Amino acid sequence: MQVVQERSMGRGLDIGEIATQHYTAVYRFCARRVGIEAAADAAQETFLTAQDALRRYRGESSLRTWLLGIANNQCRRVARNRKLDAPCIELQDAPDGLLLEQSLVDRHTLQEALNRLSPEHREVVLLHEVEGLSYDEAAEVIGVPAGTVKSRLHHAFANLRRYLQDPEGGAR
Amino acid sequence: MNVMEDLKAYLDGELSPEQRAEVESALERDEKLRRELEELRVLSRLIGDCVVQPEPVGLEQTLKALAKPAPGWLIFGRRIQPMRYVWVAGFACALALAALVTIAPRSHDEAEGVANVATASKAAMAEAPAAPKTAGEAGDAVQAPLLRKFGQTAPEKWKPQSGKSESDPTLQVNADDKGIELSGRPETVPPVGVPQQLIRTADLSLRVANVRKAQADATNAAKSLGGFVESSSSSSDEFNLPTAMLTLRVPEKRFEEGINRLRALGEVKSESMSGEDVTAQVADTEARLKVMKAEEDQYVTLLRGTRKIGEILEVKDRLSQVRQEIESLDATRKTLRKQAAYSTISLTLSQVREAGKPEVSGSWADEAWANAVNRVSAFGRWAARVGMNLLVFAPFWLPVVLILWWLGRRSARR
Repeated sequence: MQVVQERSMGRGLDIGEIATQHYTAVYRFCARRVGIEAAADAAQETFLTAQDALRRYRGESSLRTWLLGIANNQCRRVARNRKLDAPCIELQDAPDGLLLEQSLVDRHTLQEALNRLSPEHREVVLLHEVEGLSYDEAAEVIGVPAGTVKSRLHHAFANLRRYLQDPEGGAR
Repeated sequence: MNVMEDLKAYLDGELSPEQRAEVESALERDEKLRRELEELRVLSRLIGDCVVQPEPVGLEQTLKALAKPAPGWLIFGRRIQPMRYVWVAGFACALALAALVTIAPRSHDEAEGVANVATASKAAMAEAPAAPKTAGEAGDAVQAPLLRKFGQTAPEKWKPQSGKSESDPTLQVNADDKGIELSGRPETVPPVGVPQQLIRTADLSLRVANVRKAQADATNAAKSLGGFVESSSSSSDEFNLPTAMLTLRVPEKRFEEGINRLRALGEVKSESMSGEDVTAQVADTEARLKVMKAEEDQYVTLLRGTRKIGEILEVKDRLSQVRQEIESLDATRKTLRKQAAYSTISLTLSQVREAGKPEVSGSWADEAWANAVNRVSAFGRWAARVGMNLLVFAPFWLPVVLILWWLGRRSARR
């Protein structure tokens, strides 16, 4: 009975409502993956794909995670066609130039450290730290085990800290 | 358990209660670990707080696009853009055409058969060394410089009608005593005054009760019709039953009678016949021969009236060339006439298996296996032929398929 309910879960949903509710998250995710110029197209394509695939949505993950999974595939396709680099995590320019959190690092150095991360590490940092996905959700979006996400995050943060402590020689 | 590696997961609340307790206990003991945890927390908050959040655009367009009926066909829950796969249809058409070309065949095979006969007769003609292609060429080759030098005119050569080349094989000739006239006619109409010359061939495959007896009967039949056995061979088939292959030559006029008599020897397994009209070729050869003989006479006359050694040698040299041509043309004419006079019947005889006798040593499984292997092999040959046709016709279909593929990709990108 539960399986039947899960299988039919997607049938009762309205794609318009879903788009209105999740467009911002999908758009921002796409913007970080393929750039602002291609983000609207990629987001629209994501929802069009979701419209066709909605009947197959079984509710095993949250709608947001499911949509980000579709968006991830769409962005990979766009990035491949346009020969784009790995996802970019862009930090705000601090208007007041203040250092945050006990003045440990400034934004410019942190931006540099993020740019130096490998694409895989940057991808999990983006999904977990920026998009706020749990390890399981991030694992589902990029199609790897949750343990891999945990390990990649650990190494990504280790690299970040190493670079921030010694910007000259601490890359990766 | 490596506490250092679990520190980030501890911070994110992704550890099980046991692992969490273990990390907490380690944190209580280790000051350095606590500092590291704090650094991770700061870094994590810093990334989350400082990351640029782009302002979303395009929601209205997306909602409009979602409201419109989606383009393409929904097949098993997946949307297929037909334009994207139109190249597949193009390739399928090319494949079907290649298969058709491979299968279409009878007319092709027959044409091949006629071509083989034509090749054979050409080979016969080629026995004589380098015969000129037409009487006109032959005449020009020998007469032009030398006969003019001695103030002689060459025998009247062929004059083709306007629009027809001298070497056109469909042209037919009509020779009379005064010279040779050339007139264009369709190949199927025999030239006036020349009896029709047909090279006829037949392939006959028979299943007989006794191969040896049938072989002897076929030989007798050929002899009684005024023909002869050109070649004969015997062997055994895969079931150890005798088979024989004979090439019989029978007079062309009695060809049908010969076929009928051979058919009566057993059960006809297969039969094919073909014929080639060589009337024009024979007439052409005879006309050329006539021209060359006239030239020969002129050179002989010249030779008699010549006194200078140099001129004598020159005329003799030309005379020898003309005579070689005459011999070559004569051989060609004889070969064609012989081929036309005696039709060729290729006869294959195989023996019927005795009723009740077990089929050879192998079992039904062996036979089924052999049949299956034959079918696979036949299919392989057919597929190879289709592949070769595809390859040969690639300059025609490949650009079309590539254009369709490109158009499909373009429409999909939109």
